[in-house]
Amino acid sequence: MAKQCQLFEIDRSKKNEISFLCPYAHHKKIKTILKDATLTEWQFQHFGPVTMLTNGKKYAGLFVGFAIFALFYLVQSQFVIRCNVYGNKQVQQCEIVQFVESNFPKRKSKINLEQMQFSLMKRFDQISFCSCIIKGQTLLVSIKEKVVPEEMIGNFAPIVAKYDGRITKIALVSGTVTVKVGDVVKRGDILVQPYTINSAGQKMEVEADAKIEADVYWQGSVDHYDKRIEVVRTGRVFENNQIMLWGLEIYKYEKSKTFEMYETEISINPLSKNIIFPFILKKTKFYELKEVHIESNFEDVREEYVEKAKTKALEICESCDTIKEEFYTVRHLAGVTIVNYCIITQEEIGEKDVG
Amino acid sequence: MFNFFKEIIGKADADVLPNSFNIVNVAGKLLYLEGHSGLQELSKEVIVVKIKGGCVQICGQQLLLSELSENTIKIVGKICKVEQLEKV
Repeated sequence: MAKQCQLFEIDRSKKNEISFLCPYAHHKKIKTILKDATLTEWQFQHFGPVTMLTNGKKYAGLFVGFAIFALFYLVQSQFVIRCNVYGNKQVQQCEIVQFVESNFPKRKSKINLEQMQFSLMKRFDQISFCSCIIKGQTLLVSIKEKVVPEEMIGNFAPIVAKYDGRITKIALVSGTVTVKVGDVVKRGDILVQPYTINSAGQKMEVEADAKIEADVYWQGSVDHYDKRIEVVRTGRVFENNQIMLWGLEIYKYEKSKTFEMYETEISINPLSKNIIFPFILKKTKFYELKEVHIESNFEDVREEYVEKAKTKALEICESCDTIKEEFYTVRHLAGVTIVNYCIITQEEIGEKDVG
Repeated sequence: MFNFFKEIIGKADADVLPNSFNIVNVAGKLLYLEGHSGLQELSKEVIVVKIKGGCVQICGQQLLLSELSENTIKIVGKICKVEQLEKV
């Protein structure tokens, strides 16, 4: 037997028993020799990965599944499936992704990253720096955009007044001022034009920049009537209830009485927390109302009305911390007294006209 | 390439047969024999290998015939004695 193939680990553990290993390639030859020999009993045992594959029929599905998965993984890992863009503000991500997808192959080994960087910078003027790397199956494009000063963009806008007021201070940085201290301006008026005129009489566009302060007037007004009718609640109330399910009324409790004048308050609360049967309780409260004739002398409630007018003025005042002066005026008409409260604040009223 | 056996045979004064068997005993743990013509006896204590004009008896403990090919043998285990027995 040894003349025909090499044998290993020949072990004669008992007198009439021997075991040995032989290469898989020679196992058929050995089998034939053993068949021809006059042996009482002999058996073959296989080891190694080939045996696992040939004997593992019951795991055939698993092997096939693993093989398909491995094949799928190997194939799809060769391609880039996502493209992420970082650092873009002016350039849209979809623009870069579209450009990359339409100009470069999806296969990782075929993508020339240096060429991609060069092409992106050539295609998009806004990009000053570009770096492309492939991580896993994602293409990461990191860009830095050019920062262009406003003067170069040519977006010259005038400074306009954002409130009504009287100019108190002007500190010009660049541009041409169109108002002077003491001028009364209204909202939207141009305060500084975005150009200068040089010694040759030529108009040169510049960015309008100035700090312009003004006294801004904030007014609140309240009317007092000597005789007036007020509608008040009498205190009588009744309640109607409804139980709803999916917007449909399934129970209703309604009292027959009604008021001549009333106002209602409706509250809707869920009865259950489950989402399968979302029962809702709808409560409607009816409050009885009545008209009351009130006569009052303005002088008796003057402070109250002045306070009301002040509150109204403060509501519209944007910066209460710079109040310079405040006063009120009273005007008497036929049966009506009008209280005007005026707050004067010091404000910077210039803003760039973006519209 | 350097051939250990050829080198030794070439330098030997004795009348050696170049086509006969060769034995290498490595530290009494491994024995390599080339030029055998079959096995005669195999056990854990004694292995007898046929050679031209006789046989070689290897005695020891826990002997294992690690490799057997057409004309070479590798034996591992504790080798105590290697003896050449001639045909009578």
